[in-house]
Amino acid sequence: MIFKQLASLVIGDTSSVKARRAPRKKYSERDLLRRESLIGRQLFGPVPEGHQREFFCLDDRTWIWYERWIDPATKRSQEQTTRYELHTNGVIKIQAGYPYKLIEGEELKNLADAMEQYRDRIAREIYHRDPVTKQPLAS
Amino acid sequence: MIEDRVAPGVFTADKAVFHVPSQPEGYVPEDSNIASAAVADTLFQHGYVAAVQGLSEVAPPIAEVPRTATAELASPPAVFIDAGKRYVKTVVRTPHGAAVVGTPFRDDHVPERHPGLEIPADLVRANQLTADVHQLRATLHDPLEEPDAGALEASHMAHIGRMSAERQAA
Repeated sequence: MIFKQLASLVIGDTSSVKARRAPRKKYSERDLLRRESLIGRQLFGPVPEGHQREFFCLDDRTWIWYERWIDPATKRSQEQTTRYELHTNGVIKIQAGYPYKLIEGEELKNLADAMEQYRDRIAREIYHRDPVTKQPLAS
Repeated sequence: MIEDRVAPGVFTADKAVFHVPSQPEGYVPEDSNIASAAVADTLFQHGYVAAVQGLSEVAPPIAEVPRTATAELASPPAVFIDAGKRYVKTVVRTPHGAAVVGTPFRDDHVPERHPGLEIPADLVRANQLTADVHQLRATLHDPLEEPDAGALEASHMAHIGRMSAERQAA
C-alpha cells in the first residue's frame, strides 16, 4: 500500500507528459523523477498493451519499479511495486507479499546494467551532460 | 504490535523476546550463516541471552548466559516487519532452554558479509550509478520549485470554500 501511494505520489499521471527535451531551467524533484521515469520505463523492452510501467531512482539508496496492468481473467487492475534498497554491502529487493531478497549474481548484474543505461540516457536526454564526466554536452 | 509480544523489562532496546513466532513477512537471507553471526554478535555484546520455556510461552530469564557460553542458533535468522519496523529474529538454544530472539534490523545485519569476502563489482557499480544520478539531478533541481505546502493548502481551502458556497446557493 505504501509502495502504491509512493509510486502514485511520485509519478502521478504521466500520460500527458511528453518526453521532450527539457528546457534549461530548474525543476522540482518530482518533475525530474517524472522525466527520468519516462526513460526508465523504456529500458526493459516494450511495455505490453494495457500495462503501465515506471522505473526510476527515488533517492540516494532506493530504486523503484512499478507495474500496473489489467488482469485478463478478473478484469481488475493489478499492480506490483518493487523497491530496490542499496546498502553498502548488498541490494535488497522488496515486494509486497514476497520475502525480502538479497539480490546477487545475474539479477544484480541486470539491475546494475539497467541503472547504467538509465544514468547514461538521463544524462544525455534530460540533463544534457556527459554521463561519466558530468560536463555539459556541447550543443 | 510487536511490543505486545515482548517480555517487558527483560531486554534492552537492542533486543527483544517474542512470545510466539509472528507471521513472517520477511526473508531468510541466502547466506544465513552471515546473519546468524550478526544476531549472535548482538546477543553476546550484551553478555547474555534470555531463556524461555518454549516458543509459545515467555518466562522470566532463567539465567544470564556468559559471553563465552555457546548459544546454538536453531533456526536461520529472518527479517520480520511489525508496526513498520524491521527485526531480525531467530531461535537460540542455550543450555537453559530455547528462546526466540529478535533484534532491531540494522543496515549492518543484512547483508553483512564475511570479512574478506569480496563485494561484488556490480554492487559497487550500482552504488556509483545511483550517486551519479543524484549528481546529475542536482544540476537541474531547484528547491524553490518544490510545491509550497502553504500554497497548496490555501488552494485546497479555497476549493472547499467554493464548493461550500455553491452548495449553499443551490
